[in-house]
Amino acid sequence: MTALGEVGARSAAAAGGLRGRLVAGWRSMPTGMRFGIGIMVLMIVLSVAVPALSPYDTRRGSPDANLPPSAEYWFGTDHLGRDVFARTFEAARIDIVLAAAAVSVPLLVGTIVGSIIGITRSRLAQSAGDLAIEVINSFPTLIIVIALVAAFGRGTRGILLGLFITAWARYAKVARARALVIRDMDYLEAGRCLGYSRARILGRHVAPNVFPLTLAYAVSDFVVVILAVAGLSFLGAGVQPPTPEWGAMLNDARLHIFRAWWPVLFPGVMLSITALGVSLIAQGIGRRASENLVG
Amino acid sequence: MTDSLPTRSLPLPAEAPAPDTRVFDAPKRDRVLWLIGRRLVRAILVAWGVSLLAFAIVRIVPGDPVATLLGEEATPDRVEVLRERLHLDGSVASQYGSWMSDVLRGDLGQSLQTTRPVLETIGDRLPITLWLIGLGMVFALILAIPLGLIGGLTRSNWYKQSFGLGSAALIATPPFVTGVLLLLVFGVRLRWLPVAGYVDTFPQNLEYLLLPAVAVGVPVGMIFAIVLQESIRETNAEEFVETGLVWGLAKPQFVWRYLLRPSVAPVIGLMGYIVGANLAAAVVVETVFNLEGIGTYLVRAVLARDYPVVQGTLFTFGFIVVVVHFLSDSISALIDPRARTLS
Repeated sequence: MTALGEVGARSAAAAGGLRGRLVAGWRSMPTGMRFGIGIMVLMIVLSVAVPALSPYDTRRGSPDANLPPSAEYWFGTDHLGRDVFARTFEAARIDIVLAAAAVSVPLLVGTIVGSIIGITRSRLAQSAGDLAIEVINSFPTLIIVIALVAAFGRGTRGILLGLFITAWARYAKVARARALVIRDMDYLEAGRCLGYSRARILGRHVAPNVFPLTLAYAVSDFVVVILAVAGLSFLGAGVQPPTPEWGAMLNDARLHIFRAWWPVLFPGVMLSITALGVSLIAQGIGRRASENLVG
Repeated sequence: MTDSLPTRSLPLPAEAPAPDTRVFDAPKRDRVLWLIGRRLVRAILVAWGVSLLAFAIVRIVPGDPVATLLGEEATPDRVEVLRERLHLDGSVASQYGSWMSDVLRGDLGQSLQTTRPVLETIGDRLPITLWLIGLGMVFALILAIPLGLIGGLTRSNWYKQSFGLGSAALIATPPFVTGVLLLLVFGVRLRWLPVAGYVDTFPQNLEYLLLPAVAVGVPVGMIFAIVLQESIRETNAEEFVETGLVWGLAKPQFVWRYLLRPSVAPVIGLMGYIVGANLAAAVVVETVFNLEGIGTYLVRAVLARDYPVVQGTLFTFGFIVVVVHFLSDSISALIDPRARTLS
């Protein structure tokens, strides 16, 4: 089976073109990673399609409160009579977009800051940077972000600011370790001899060598962040009702848990399926990276 | 004993001392002590950084925090009193000085809502959180040790695949989802266990803590199991394991001293991270089960913008993590010589 797949992959790659390369890439992936990509594609498609096609209003209530799942309401209705199916998938869109935003900014900031700390020759700057990274990382994400929400106020803006301020330190740690390794490489020495400015060496030679690593880390960090966004909203610090968000929906629904189980079950399960999808992709990337290191 | 085993070269960070390649080391207590001393200095530095961060929370509030808190009730007198209680008078350096000297004397300030000393409330509530985390840890180990041993020693591909998927799914399920689902099944549907509340005495409290502890322990147990499994696989490939086999040691002794003990070190080294994850899980799980621990204390304070409470609990959480981190590093250096070369 595998041998056949590889032959197919090679011939497809030989056929050339973007499509050929995509097909070859897909075939060389481990099963788990394909599974993860499948989950994410499905989730993203549904998160756009379901709210657009649903006849129900996702924010305003209706008299049909606490109805069990039926042909009319696939996931039932919540305590205000809103369709859980439409809300669950609108929440998917909100959670995925929020998590993507909360990952991308710290990824860039952390890569640059970590690279600087890694290549600097100043002991003081290095120690100070290391200490800042270690202090921020010594708090669990959820706890430090919720404490920052006390300062910035609850809501989407508050949790995004909280995540921006703290998450860069995780990327900086990865970037620093990598930059420390490439600091003494010959091509950096060559750049210095040619009299390139520090900014140019950092931007053109160090950052491009650090970025693939932090990017791969970002995929696994996405899982942490999406769970943090949902967790913060569950605690009432993040996305505020009536906006549909998995954590906030779960928090709403748990107060009516004796009457209806469906508004509790579906958002929770969708959240873990999404997180599972992303972590399967991250595992695939990680395995490939370690194979490349060996090879 | 393990001190005389060959040390293995590890991928080292740039500044680390060169790996010791001598096959038979004399016991090196001084080196271990020196290493632990260095880590202690580092831990104190990080704890100081944690205090800076907790101190900074009020100061990064956009605008004037006092005006935000008092709103329309602001009178010059009240503003003055609140400013003093939040340590917002004088220069930033003197603010930090007076805050820190209070903290070192064990005064974390008073709650703005109840005027009760923060430290006193934390003292009242900490036992519940510690019970929850401790039980969660016990539950995690009960899951992890057999799963890790099986995973480390098996050659079954089917087991590895299904364990990989199962553990990924359980780690991807956050504790508040696990908690609410457990509540739904065992509290609401089956009615086996209480859905909320707490009793303070020892055997009775287990009934209330069982479901929360499972919710806290499952993801942590899976992480433990994965690390233990990798570690056992690595240990299994070492020469001293073969030597032990050749010597024909008794089975339990062999499994403990040659397989489990060297493999446990990475798990203990992970403890700082694990306790952090546990604290974060406790914060949400306490909310799910309405337990009056420091997690719910923090959450309520955040929503009410009760800054002294937020600062105090944040400092406490950070301090716990730093102490555990230091202890776990030191213990893993003591029981596994291979961990000593890592800076």
